[in-house]
Amino acid sequence: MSVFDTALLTGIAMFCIGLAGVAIRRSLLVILLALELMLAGANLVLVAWAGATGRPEVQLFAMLVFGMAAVEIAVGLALLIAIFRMRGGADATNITELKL
Amino acid sequence: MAEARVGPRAQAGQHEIVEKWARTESKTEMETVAGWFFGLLAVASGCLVVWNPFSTELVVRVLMFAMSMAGVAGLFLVMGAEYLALAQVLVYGAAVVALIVFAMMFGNDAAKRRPVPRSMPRLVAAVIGVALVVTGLISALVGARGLRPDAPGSATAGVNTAELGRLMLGTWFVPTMIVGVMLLIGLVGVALYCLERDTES
Repeated sequence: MSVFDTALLTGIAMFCIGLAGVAIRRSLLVILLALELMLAGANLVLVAWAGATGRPEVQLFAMLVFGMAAVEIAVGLALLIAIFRMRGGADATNITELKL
Repeated sequence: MAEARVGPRAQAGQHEIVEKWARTESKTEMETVAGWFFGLLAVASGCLVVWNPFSTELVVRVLMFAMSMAGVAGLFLVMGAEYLALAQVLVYGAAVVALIVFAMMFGNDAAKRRPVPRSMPRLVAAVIGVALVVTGLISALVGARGLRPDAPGSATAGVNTAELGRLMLGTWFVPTMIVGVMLLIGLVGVALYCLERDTES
C-alpha cells in the first residue's frame, strides 16, 4: 500500500468523522470543527490524487480550498459569538427561527 | 563463466545499481511508515474532536483538532506537497486554532466553568507531547535521509513547489485572485457585522 492509498483512506475517514460530527453534535463550535475536518479530508484526497497523477494544478485546488476554509471559519465564528451573546449559549437545537 | 567475463568497471556499475535500488526501497518503506503514523494521528485526533470520552472541555477538542491538522500536514509532507504542508500548519495549526480559542474566550463565562480534574489535562498534555516528539523525530529522519519529493526514487516525485507557484501566478491567476477577494470580502463583512452589533448594543 503506497502513501497515496494511506492518504486516500485517511481523507475518507476524516470526511466521514466530520460528517458524523456535524450530524450528531449540538455545540456550534464542535460543528464548525467537524466542518473543518471534512474540508481537510477533501484536501487530503485532492493532494493524494495530485501526487498519484503528477498533476500540480490539483494541488492548486487544495490551496483554493484553504482560502475558502479561512473565510468559512471567520464568518462562522462571528455568527457563533453573535448567537452566544443573543441567547447565552451556542446550542444548535435552540436555533429554530428558519425552521418551516 | 559469464561472471568471469564482467570487468571491474561493469561490476562497480552493478554495485551502484544495487545500492540505488536498496536506497529506493528504504525510502519507500520510510514513506509508508511515516504515512501510516501521520494518518493514524489525524484520524485518532479527529475522532477525539467529535467523541471525546476523556474530557468535555472545548479547549481539549480544539487541541485535538490542532493535532489532527498536524497529522494532515505530515501526510502532505510525505506526499511531497511541502508548500501545502507549511500552509496547513500556518492556516489550521496556528491561525484557525488561535481564532477559535479567542472566540471561546469571548463566549465562555469564566464564573460558570466547572472545576476540571487535575489528572486529565496532564494525560492530554502527555499524549500531545509524545505525539509532537514522535512527529519531530520522524520529520528529522525524513530530512536526514533525503526523502524529498524531488529526490530520485521517491514515490512522490512529480509535483514541486516551483511548478505550483508558476501555475498559481500564471494559468490559474484569476481563480486565485477571486478566492483572495472572497476572503477579503468575508473578513470585511464580519468586521462590519460586528461593528453594527456593537453600535446597536
